[in-house]
Amino acid sequence: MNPKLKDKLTSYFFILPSLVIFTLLTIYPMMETVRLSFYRYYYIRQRVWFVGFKNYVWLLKNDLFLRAIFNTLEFDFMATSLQFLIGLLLALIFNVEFKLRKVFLPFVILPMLLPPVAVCSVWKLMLDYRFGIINDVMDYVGLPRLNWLGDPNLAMLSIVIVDTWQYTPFVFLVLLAGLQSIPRELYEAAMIDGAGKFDRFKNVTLPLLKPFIMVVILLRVIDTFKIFTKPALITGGGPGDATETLTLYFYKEAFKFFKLGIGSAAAVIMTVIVGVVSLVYLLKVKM
Amino acid sequence: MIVMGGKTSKVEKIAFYTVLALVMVLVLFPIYWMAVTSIKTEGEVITEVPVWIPTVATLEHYKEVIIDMEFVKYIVNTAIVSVIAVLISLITGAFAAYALARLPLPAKLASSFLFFVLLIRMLPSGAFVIPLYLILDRLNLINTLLGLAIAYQVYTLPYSIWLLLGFFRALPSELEEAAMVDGASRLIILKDVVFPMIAPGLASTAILNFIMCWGEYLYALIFLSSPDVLTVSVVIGGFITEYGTLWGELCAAALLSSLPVLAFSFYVQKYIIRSYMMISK
Repeated sequence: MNPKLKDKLTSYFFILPSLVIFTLLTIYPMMETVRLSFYRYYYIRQRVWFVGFKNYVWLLKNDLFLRAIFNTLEFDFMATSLQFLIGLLLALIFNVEFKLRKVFLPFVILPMLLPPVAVCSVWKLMLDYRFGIINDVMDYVGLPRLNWLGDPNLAMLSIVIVDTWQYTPFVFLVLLAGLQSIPRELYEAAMIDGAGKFDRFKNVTLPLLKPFIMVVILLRVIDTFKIFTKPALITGGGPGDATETLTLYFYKEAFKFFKLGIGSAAAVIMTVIVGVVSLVYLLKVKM
Repeated sequence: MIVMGGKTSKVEKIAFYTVLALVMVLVLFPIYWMAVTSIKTEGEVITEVPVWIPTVATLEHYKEVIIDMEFVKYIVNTAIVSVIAVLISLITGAFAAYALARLPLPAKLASSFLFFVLLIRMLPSGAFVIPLYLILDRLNLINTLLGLAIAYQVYTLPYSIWLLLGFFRALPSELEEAAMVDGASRLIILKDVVFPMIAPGLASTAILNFIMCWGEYLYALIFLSSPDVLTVSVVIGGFITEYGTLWGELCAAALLSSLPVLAFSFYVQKYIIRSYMMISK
């Protein structure tokens, strides 16, 4: 057999297992999710019937679902912004050669490696109104104790804080990689031209870091949109509906009440929202 | 100092180290607090005046978690699921990534395949999980560790392909070409030339996927329900919602579930950092 053809066959052979897995676990399920979204499907009673767009209408009239959309977008925006700003600051700090840099670096990335449930456990204790260390510190510095998890106005912020603690290191690592890829000579050239620190940051660092910033923000926008574990375990979506998020809502409809049709319609709406948000972001940053 | 080059004044130096110290405290305190709470006596956990450093250390909570909750069983379950999931995605992903990096796949197929890999990474899990549940239910794989490991491929396989593709592309192809000239077959070249050279890449990919599977909560919650097969995340999750105020036990369980990561992380952090830098390229 001629070697070119042989290589071609080998390449199909190599990619085939992944294609099979993707088809069975993602492509087929995606199409099936869309199909199921047009059915009422009560799994426990094994009852299925076609309802057209009724699931979508039902969801878009459902206050809790609408609230979950709003909460998710609010969380996404707050968490991504905060993680980006702190991550950038951290990356700038660790881009400096200082003693102990190599010692501290592995500690800084620890939070993102921990199991999210472990993070939820300790933060739920720290944020506790009566026994939490955070309120003890508030007392100590003379600020009022806050009901971090029980006050509807604060609960979402608390979830943002916990997620920021865990995933800022991810932003940090990507941006640090970006900073390290900037050649030193550019800074030296800028200094010879008499550029001050701020000018160097604005005219050298930021433009060269931009591709990294774009990627890391997009990844955080996408990932924070999926937030589930933290509100599920720290606040249970409450108080009231203050921290109800889309994935939490989806999980309850689909796997607590086993209303698979409504769950599927919610999944389709979520997918559309995350698609639109990413698209708008990509179009915006391209300009 | 913060932007490279230039002279730094004493004030700037002090400001720099103050911010650095603050950052390290904020990063490390919750981990410290998890550790000390797990060895505090019940009385010292629930006090109006915080106990920063426990006066006595007790292993009571660990005894309850390990003996009464049978926590070791769940750690073993989690390890089994994670190892199976990592192996499946590493093997299938390595071949796919190699084909994409080196072999003459039709350009359209290659680019649409890669686009699809990115798309899966973006979509919310809800987009797949209901039909996935129905499929695994039909195959009697709900409530099995193998079933969960298969479901995890939704996460781990795209991730593996993405990372490994970067590692393959960074590898010079001259050695493979030389081996080809010597008449070696593709599989031999992979086994004797490519895989040994890409070993650090395979290790990083395996580690990142392992960490992800180890801490995964949503799929584990959906696909597992009988007590024998639960993973540590599901057990701790149930514990938080049911016995939310048994802080000592909770922190002991949380720390035990973090141990593999804490123990490995210093050893493997070089790989972890390299992989995350890869992601951003």
